[in-house]
Amino acid sequence: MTAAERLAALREKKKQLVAASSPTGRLDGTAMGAASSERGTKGHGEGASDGSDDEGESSEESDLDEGGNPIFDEESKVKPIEEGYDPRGIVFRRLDIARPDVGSMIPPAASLTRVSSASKDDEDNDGENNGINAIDDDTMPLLDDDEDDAFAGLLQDEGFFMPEVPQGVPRRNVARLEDRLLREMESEMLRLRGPRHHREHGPDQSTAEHWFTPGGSLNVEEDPSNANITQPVDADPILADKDTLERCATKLVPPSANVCTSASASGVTFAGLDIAVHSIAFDDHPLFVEEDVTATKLRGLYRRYQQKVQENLLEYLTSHLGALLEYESQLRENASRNADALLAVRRQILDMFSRRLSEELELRELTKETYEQWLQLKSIRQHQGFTSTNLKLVVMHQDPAHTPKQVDHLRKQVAALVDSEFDGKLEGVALQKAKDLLQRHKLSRPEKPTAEFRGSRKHARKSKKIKKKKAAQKRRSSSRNSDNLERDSTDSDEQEDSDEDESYGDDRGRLDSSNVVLRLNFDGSYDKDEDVPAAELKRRRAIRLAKVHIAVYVNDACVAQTADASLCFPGFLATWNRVFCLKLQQRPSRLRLDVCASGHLFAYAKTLASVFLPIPASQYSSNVLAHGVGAEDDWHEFTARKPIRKWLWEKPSGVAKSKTLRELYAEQLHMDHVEVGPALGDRFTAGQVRATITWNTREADEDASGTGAGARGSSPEQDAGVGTLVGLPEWTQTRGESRGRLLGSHAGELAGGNLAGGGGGVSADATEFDDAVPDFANEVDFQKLIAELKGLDPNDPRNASVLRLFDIIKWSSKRRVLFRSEALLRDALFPTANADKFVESRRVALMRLRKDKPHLFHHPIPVSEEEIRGDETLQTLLLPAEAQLELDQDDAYAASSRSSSEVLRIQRMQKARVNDFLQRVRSLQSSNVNAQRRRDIPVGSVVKEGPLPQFSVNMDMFRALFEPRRRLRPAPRIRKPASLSVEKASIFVQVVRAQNVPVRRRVTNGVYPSSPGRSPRRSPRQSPTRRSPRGGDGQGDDGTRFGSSRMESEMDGGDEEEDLEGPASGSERVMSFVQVKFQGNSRRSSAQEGPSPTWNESIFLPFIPPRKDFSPANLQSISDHVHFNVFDEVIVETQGEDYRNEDAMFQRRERRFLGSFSIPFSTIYMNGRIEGMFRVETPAVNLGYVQRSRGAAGYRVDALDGAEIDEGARGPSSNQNLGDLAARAQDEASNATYVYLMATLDPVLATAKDENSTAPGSGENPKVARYAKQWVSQVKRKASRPLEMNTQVFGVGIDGDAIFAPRFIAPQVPPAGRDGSELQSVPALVRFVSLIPFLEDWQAFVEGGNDVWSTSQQFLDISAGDWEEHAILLCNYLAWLFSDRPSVEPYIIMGYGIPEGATVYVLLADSSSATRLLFNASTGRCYAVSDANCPLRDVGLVINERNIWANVQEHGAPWQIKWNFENAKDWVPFWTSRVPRIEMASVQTEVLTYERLDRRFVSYLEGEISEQIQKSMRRWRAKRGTTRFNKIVGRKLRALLESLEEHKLEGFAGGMSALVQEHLEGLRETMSNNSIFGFPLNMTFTEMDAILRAVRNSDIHNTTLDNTTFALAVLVVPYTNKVFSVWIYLATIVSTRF
Amino acid sequence: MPEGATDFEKTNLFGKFSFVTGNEKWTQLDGTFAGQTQLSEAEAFQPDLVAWNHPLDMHFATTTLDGWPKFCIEVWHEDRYGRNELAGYGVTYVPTSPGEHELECVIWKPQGSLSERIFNYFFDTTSHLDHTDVAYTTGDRFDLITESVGSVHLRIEVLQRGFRNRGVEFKSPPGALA
Repeated sequence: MTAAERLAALREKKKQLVAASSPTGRLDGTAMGAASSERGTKGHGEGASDGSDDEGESSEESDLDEGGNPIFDEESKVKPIEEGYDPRGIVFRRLDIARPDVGSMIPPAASLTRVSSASKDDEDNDGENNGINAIDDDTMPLLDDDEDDAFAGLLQDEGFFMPEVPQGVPRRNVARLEDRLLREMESEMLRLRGPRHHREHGPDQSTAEHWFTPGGSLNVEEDPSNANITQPVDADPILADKDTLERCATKLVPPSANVCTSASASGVTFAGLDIAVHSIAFDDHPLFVEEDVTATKLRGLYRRYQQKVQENLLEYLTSHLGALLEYESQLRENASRNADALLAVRRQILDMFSRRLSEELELRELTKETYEQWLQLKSIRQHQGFTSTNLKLVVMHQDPAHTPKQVDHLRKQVAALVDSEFDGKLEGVALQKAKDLLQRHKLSRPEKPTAEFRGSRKHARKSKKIKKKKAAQKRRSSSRNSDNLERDSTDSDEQEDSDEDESYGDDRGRLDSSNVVLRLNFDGSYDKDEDVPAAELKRRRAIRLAKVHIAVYVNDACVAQTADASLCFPGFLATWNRVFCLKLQQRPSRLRLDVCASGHLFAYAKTLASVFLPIPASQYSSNVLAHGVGAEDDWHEFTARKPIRKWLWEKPSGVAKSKTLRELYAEQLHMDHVEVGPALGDRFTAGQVRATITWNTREADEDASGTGAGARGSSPEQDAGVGTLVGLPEWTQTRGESRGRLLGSHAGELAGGNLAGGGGGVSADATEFDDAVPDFANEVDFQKLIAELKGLDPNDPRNASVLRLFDIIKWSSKRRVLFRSEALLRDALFPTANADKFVESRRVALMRLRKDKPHLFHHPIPVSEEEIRGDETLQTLLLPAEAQLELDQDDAYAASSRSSSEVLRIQRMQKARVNDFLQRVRSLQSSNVNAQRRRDIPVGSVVKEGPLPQFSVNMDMFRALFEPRRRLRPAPRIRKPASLSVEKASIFVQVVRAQNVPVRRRVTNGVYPSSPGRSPRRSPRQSPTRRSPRGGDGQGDDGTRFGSSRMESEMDGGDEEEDLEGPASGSERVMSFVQVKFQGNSRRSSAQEGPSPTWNESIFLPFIPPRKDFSPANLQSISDHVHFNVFDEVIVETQGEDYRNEDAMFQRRERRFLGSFSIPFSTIYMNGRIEGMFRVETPAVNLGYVQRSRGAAGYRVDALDGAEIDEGARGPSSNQNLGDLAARAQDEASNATYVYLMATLDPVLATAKDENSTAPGSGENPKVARYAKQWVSQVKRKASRPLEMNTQVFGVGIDGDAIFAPRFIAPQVPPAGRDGSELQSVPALVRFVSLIPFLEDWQAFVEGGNDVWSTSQQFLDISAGDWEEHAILLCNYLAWLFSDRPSVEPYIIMGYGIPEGATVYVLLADSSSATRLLFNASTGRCYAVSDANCPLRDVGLVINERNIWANVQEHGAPWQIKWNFENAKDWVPFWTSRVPRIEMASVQTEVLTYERLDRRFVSYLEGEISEQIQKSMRRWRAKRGTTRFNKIVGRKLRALLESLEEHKLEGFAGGMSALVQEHLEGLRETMSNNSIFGFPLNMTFTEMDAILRAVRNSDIHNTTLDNTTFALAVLVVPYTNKVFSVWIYLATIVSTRF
Repeated sequence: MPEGATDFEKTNLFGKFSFVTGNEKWTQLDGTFAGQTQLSEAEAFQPDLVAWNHPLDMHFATTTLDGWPKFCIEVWHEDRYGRNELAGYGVTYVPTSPGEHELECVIWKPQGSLSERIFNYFFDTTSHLDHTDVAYTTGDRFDLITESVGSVHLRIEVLQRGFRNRGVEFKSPPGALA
């Protein structure tokens, strides 16, 4: 039929349709029916008609239903077609009728941007029933040049043709249009030819070309009348030539994929990335049965085999060996000259020989394996009775490239070489090796048996026999199976089959790989559906129903998706052949294909697995997209993440009721095991996706076409495979081969090749490369590496691709010019004389200084350098910071002395450590503190608003009116905190009274009273008789001499005797007063008589904050302390030199140090006012004074009877006894001196609001953090007193993380004491912990209460900390100490104390004896819980390793509360039975590392301290004349000091009185002639300054008596970690001798 | 000195500003480099101007021209429920030429995903940037979708010292105020 005829027929039909008065062009009903029924099996047709059903488009349902197909042009009703415009109609504007070659035109992507064409399964896997392919050549000459106009009109009528491209056409409509076109053509053809006809004919492109592009999408042509000529955005991609590939519309990758969105209008160049998704093949699938699994294995083996064969390494090695042998024979002619070379060559020969051998063996092994796998497959097929895979292995004989003879000849040559020539030249081992090798070689070729290897032949024969038997068995079984599938089904392959059998027979069960070639065919027939059992049939249906599609993800954003493709049955393949053209502006970081199984419920696609694709390398690894030429075409393997579930097999089979598919399968296939194939649970869906990725920029395109041509040509069978083997799987592609044909993938090639070579163990040069191969970070590296690859064997087939790469690189490396911005950066730097360090100008330095210390500057900083240089003050400021620091440090004490460098070094080290720590903490906190502070400025402090008038009636007035008036008890005026405008302030201290002030003891005249309690003060006339101190009479002889000075006030005649029988006796003498020191100012109270003086005096001290800044932030940072010193005022009567005037009396007032204590300013400031009893720190021994007990029953004056006390001393062992400790603590406390005072600020200064700053639990286990928050609020609710500051459940670690407080507590081993053993007693531990310096200026950076808790190791390393560090350390030590006594439990207590405020104590509770002790770990004081003078005023939380208890009792003071933690009414536990404890690891290290104690430094330090004190005292006393130090007494004092530390460590087990006794005893001799006053001071060593300050505070230097000499003794006791206990014994000695 | 903001839909605005330099060769010598303006309501007679007039003073020292300081601002607004919500981000370079400059810093806000937009629509909120660095670093900003919300007006006086000694000369643009 000619074209004209066809056209006429068509036209006829159209006319009929029009005549049928239907406004819409409709197809002939019968033809349509035929078409649809014909196409019923077509996946595509189904999809389209399904779509139409779903749509239910408006009211034209009848039209749609009639044809069973959608009618596309119903819109023509809306708008007359004559106008040539249809808003929704069809996608293409105009068919290019004038140009018959329209099909070759690629549609410009721009015009297709909106159109995603439907996927068209051009290569339908069944290979039949395909619409396009079915169109016969001459059946549809649709168009003719001369009639185009008329036909165009007709088409327009029909809705085939639109003059305009409508915008936004739904995909469905396009699909329908295509569908209709196809149907039209098909029905036409059917009508003419009959349905059978087209099957025989192959597809013909030419007729369909008018409508479709080669890719299968609709042809669209540019509007020629378009005024604006638009350039196609992307050029033809590389893959365009593969005409079976369907070109998808260009996709702009959405912004979420990190790719540019704005269109190309802005002139941005896009790179096109073509991702071609070809097909998928499953290696494992839920529907696999054993046959499939075996077939997959076979394929894998065959792939390896094929790779080996194609590499053809064997031949290469053989010829190489031949060449070497030849060379060797040449050399041998001149053997004497070329001895070395000969040896080398021979070695090479041996090496080559062994490589060849192993290669050969390997190949043979592989062949065998493959063959055996095939046998297994066959047996499975036989067993199950049908075939469901199309694999077929063909064994072909082939003349080997090297006949056995040849090979044998080679071997002989080598053997001769080994035997004859190597003797003597080759080492024994190597020789042996060579011989072994030859033997192996012989063994491996059994077909040429020699006499000496008969034995080994036997073995081979035996194995042959077995195989033979097996083969016979097999043959029998197969013949038993009447339908021998293999024979029946493979008619055409009989020849090869017989071949195979022949080879089988020939070799008697043994496959000789040397002359056999395997080929795996995929065209093996399999049983048709009709012939298989129902179960198998069902399985096949399931397979065909299974649909998969692939989603393309760029940077984890889905950008495209293929259509669903159903799996084709034998082979589990699905094919798409789709190209996605992505336009990217930046190199994507990830490219991923997701294999999705579609067709699940509600069109829900289940992602089976992800395939990550390599991105073809661009030239540079930068983010800027370069136009690389790399293309990646490969099978990408994937494996599902989840194992295959069994339900597919467990589904009811439907064939036989109540039987699952599995059961059915097993039953029908006579399988005795129910499991089909390998166990499903262990299997994962796996497979491979073939995808091609390539850049397709214009240049790249040219590049690729130029350079890649050869590369692509290298695998012609692949291209052919795509083109012709439609429906055939492409397994024949081996990985290694298909990979790496272009630049980007060569890296993998090389690496892979090397790995393979290395694995074989035969490739020497390959292993050499291995060392040199870096990771292929980017292509530049790779190119460098390539350049270095010298000595590559060009003959080695494995190197072929690398060599090819050489050319490409040579070509491509020439034209790259880079622009680097680093150079620009360097230019932007100012040239300076010193390149490393920029010397900042003076002005800059000053400004920096001003930022840190604004108070130094009062004037603006001058602009010019000269002015600055001219300014004196500024110049001084400009001194280098380091020098300044040095000055600061030295200033305090080094002005008069050259300080020893060692001490300085230690000090600096310590300071640096602390500073470093502070710095870290500060920087940690600064950020959030700043944030908080900014927020917390109240409006009132910034905006001054007039007070609003208030109209409430003030009832207070009335109340005040009716209140009873008490004149003597006026109501205190409520003091309001002063606001910002404070000009000056003062500290107001009211010293009320004191308790138990030490009273004077008479020591003047040498004799120390034997019973000091009875006569503590002797008159100066007391005789210097030496009496035993233990003497009971207490009667001293009257002194006979007067001292040049006498303590007149102490002379109370003879009545002092026996006056101390009771503590109440009021005759003791002491005139005590309190000195208050703050910021260098000091004030004192008047002196009051007696051990319990009452002063009731108010003292004002001026208070000047730094920079006169009264802002709360500044005030908070003040770390000054208010020092209170208690002195005894002594009136000294001097009998002046003027003897003539005897009437004149000279009196001096002297002060004697009794004790001191201090309160931090911040405590006063934060609390507004503090009031209470403060314990005075009195020296352990105060010569000349005695501590009186307060008369509590059972306690006596300490010194009453030394013997009695001695009995009480039970030695250090008793230190473990908490009862003793408690008693001693009680004793000590009741004997201590207390001062009752009140301190406040005047006016009261506003404090910053103390927000709850501990971010609860950030960094801690979130569960715990949440619960903690809840718990705290619960505790606060339950508590009957304010608990604000005591509910800190978390400590902020040094890294800023909140750490649950119990995690800090864990038993830890204490350090060794001086004797080398660990500190074992409670007092010793307390002592050690208290000696670790307390961080004085902690307050400075604890802004907003953000405290930092260090672990014990950190604490020890820093050697400084505050309350919680001390307490935790002590608690941990105690936990270690009592780890074997479960009844004794240490806790830490978070509470409120005086004077420090929020504080941490340690509680040691012995449940067996109900003893509870409190320790202030930083001072080392011990209190019994019943002690009402305990400075701990409020117990908040009690914490131990396991739990936290909150005190919710009415009272907080330790002596008032009940200590039974079990009582939930009083104590709320954190972990309860309802909320069990969450185990959290301790933050403490189990073993603390201690620095060893530094004994060497001790004497050094002692000397230094002593020297410094002497110097300072001389300086302080400079106006009073000379200052002399009595060395002899000093030595004695030092001896006394020795024992003091011991006593401390033992917790004064012997009692204080014994100590005093001891001291008096030691000084007795001296005292006989002198009166001595003095006391030991004890402190931990932090810096010299502190020591001098303490000495100065004691005011001992302030004596006016001329003949006073001083005694000084210094003892430094070292502990680990540079902790030093410093003892200083200071005494004044006044000679009583004339 | 951030003078104020214009063209905002919302009126109760305040700004959190900071000065960011490009590299560590810039030293912040003195002054306020980051802070917050007061909350300001548009005036009745000039409803589109939210005035701040927040004076700032700062000194930089540098050894390089690279990384010239930028002025970054986050504009926030307080709604009638007292919630503080982000209105947008804005960045502008501090002028290099000495003299007084009036700048307009355009404020934008990220658009967010669809769900975020729905959320924002109903709750009258704005999507935030996870990393505010994005706003002022060059480079990775192109995947943002933003919409402009208004602009902040700045008056900046630039004084320079020592550049001439280093061979750098800045010329005042003709538009700059003397």
